[in-house]
Amino acid sequence: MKSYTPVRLVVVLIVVTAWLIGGTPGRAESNDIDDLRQEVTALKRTLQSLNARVESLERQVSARPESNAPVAAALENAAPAAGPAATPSIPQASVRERWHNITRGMSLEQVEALIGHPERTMKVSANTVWYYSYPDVGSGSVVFAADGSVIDWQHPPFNTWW
Amino acid sequence: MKSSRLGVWEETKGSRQQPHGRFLIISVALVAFAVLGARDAKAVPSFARQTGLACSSCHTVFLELTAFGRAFKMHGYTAQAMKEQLEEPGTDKVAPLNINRTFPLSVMLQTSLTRTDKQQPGTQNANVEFPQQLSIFLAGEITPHIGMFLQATYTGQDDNFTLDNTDIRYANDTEIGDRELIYGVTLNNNPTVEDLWHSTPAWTFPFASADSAPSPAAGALVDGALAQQVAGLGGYFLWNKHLYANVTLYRSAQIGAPQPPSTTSNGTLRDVAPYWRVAWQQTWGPNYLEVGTFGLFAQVIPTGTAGATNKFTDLAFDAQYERALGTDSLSAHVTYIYENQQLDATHAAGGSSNESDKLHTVRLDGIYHFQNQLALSLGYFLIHGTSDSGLYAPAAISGSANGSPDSDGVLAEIAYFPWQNVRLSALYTAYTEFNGGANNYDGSGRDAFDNNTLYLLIWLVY
Repeated sequence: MKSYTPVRLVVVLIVVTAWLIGGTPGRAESNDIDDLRQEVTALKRTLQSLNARVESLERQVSARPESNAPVAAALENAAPAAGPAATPSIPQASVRERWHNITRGMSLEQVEALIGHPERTMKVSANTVWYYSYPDVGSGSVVFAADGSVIDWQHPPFNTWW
Repeated sequence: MKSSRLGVWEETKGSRQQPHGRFLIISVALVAFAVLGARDAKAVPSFARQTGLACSSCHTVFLELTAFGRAFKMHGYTAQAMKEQLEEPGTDKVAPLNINRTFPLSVMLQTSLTRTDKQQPGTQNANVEFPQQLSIFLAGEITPHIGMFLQATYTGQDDNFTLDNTDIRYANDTEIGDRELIYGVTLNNNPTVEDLWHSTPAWTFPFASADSAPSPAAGALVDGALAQQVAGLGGYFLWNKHLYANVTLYRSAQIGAPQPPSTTSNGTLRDVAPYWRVAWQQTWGPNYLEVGTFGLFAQVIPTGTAGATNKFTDLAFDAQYERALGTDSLSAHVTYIYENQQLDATHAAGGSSNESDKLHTVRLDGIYHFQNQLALSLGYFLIHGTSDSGLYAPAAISGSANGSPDSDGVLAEIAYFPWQNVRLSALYTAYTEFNGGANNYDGSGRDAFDNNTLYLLIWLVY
């Protein structure tokens, strides 16, 4: 049987106490990694959920061209909120087609049904300008005369360099 | 405009003017083209691509600016609140790099037919120019506070590309008390090109016109004679949305001439030429009114870089009125320019009969816009000044039999815009007096109304 000297006993007690209070450094690292893994797993689940939501919204937009659903808002929800480095996931083809269906003389209601509610409106002389902005695509606008009919528009720069 | 400038330049070089009077004649005659000659026109689609705003946000019809168009120019061709730009990570306040998503490139094509009531001797009438002008624009935002409007133009008559109107700006805004102050710096190459209204020479009606038809011999220096011949650095501000002021100092920067100016140079400015501008704008109900004044003082050395000069003092008053009429709109402009010409150099060289001359220029126009698809315009112009048989000598078509610079007439134009970037127009100019007379004004048997001009234009911008 081993015999414990007072000094050895003190050292043992210190180590045991430290372990009981805060754990060892190696134990702390292990806990951090576990926490990170859990967070990553949670983020993955969130991302999967968001992707599913985006796909659902895209399907709704594509399947209901007559819908009053605000395309701009849908796109804003669908687009990544991160910075410009993020990859755009916008169904540009659908939005482009809707913008190209705008014709002179359309009413405010018809334009809203087609491309959704504007991000903002402006008054330019007697005309009203509806302004749309699509993340990672660009901006467009529709100009209405005083009688509420379309007189001009500028579509967003879909895949155009200039 | 480059084409008109060079066109008259060539014409003047071939005339029998005295060398010392040449620049004066050039500057005076050139301006005549500025009064009636071909003009620049700038409605730039790259601005629309940059901001996402339709053409009619900035233009009633191109190139007439709306209130928003004026604000856009005032802000240095930038639209901080609307722009689409790429940002790279940087400080919290200012990104280290801001680049337009769209490259600020636009193109413009003008092709025209010009027919005078009586053909110019030895020439074919109903002249077609294809193109009259082909321009490339670099126009848009460079940084959130710096933008530019740069035009390079090919003209059929000169068969080359050269720098046309250019305006590079820095702009910002702040508040003094509770009043907004927009301020900026402009670097440009044509006095009045920095202006916001269509009652100053660079942007006045007609917005495009014939460059192959005869035009009056006289015009003030500020009325376009220095276009692309100078470089100017100036500052401007708009206080409380009402008071606008601008001062720019111009110095010779002639394109196509040897650098630096030397003994062979023509029309070099001594020191700098100050240009000033003050305007007040007011809106009430559907009405908008701008009233203002502008002017220029320049000492011009006819030949070389030293010696006697001709001193030009230009003082002008202008006004612009706009009114919305349902879905239509009306605009009207008036400009009066008084010029005092102290012709020390030219007179000493025998190029003018008088030591000093006066010149008065009046322009009026009204434009009715049927929505933004059709514009009907009527204009009147008058040039009246001191008779000077040395300055305005008899010469076929371009000269004056009695030495008078007096000319006046009316303009009528119809312009159709099937799309906002396509302008199809017909402009008719009718003279009641040309270079001092109605009949046999040039001493060679030509009448003023022989110079009446029909100008058909197809104008595309993209």
